[in-house]
Amino acid sequence: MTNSPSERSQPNTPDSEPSLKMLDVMSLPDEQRSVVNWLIRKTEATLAEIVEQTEQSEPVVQTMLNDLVQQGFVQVIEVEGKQHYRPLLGSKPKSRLSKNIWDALG
Amino acid sequence: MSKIVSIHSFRGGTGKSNTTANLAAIVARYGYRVGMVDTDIQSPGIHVLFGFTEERMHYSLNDYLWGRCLIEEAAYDVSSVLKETNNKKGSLYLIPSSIKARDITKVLREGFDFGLLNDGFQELIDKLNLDYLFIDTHPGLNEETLLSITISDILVLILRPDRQDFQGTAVTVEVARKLEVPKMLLVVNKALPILDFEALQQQVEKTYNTKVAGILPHSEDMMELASTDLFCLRFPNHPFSKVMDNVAKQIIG
Repeated sequence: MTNSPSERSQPNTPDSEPSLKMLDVMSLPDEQRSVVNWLIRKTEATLAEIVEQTEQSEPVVQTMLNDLVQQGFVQVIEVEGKQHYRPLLGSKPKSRLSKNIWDALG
Repeated sequence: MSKIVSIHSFRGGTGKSNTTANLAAIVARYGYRVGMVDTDIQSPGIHVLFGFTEERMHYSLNDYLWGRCLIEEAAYDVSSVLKETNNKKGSLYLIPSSIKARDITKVLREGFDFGLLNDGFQELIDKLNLDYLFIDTHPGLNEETLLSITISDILVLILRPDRQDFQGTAVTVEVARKLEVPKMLLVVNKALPILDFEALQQQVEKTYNTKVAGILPHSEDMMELASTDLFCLRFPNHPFSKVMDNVAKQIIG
């Protein structure tokens, strides 16, 4: 049985705390934004799949992915022995409202 | 190949949930396997159109996001609404958000993982073998709606013939283009009969350089039904339903 994406191998990139916000995506340079948009739709992809999608050379794509990994927007995970790239989508932030309000709501 | 269709509007009250439910049902009626997920966690509503109450919702999208269930456990087969119109191959599933006050406040207070939400969409498509997944969204631009727009194969933007909606739609169209949505359709809803629909369509298409899939007339019959049922299945020959059917055909392509 295939594991769901959320059950897959632990990421093997350091400090892989989800930090990508959709607003960050909007601010990326065009090429990076295009790759990240596509990765979000696919949920994850191999380097070869990303190369095919972007129609760019492998070194160029690898450099771009390394940059995105460095920024904490993409993580590298291992799936059945192969490296996959996966967007590190962040979380809807917790409320900053006064605790009193939440306590009143129960 | 499965398609994700997001139904969105910049402003509230444009008719997103009714449009999502009716479009999804029409597409299912044509013989497709269709899912609808209510991502408007802060103000859920589409479940009302299918007669769901708190008691009937054992699991909701909220439970999936909090790790309490698998996404497919929060999916309810509502194909029975298709009734006699049902093409035997068509199916309709609803993944509702919780209407319980404590669940809504919990989400507002604690947030949730967008990665998990994104994974959930794909898992729904896989597990339910969906042809189409309709996403009913919260109005306006926020992280959740930006995510829905990003993953959509088709984005349906709903607006009323109203200046606030016109201005807000311009913002959303610009954002959608930046997020490279493959296909975008505009639907003008609640158009009064005194308007020249043809001129309105041309004006809107020219303004946004985007196809208008349909202009839905303001309908007192629709208002009278008051979200108690799916209008287009109840009244398939109504002018409103015929426009909606045409919009559905443009989604199916």
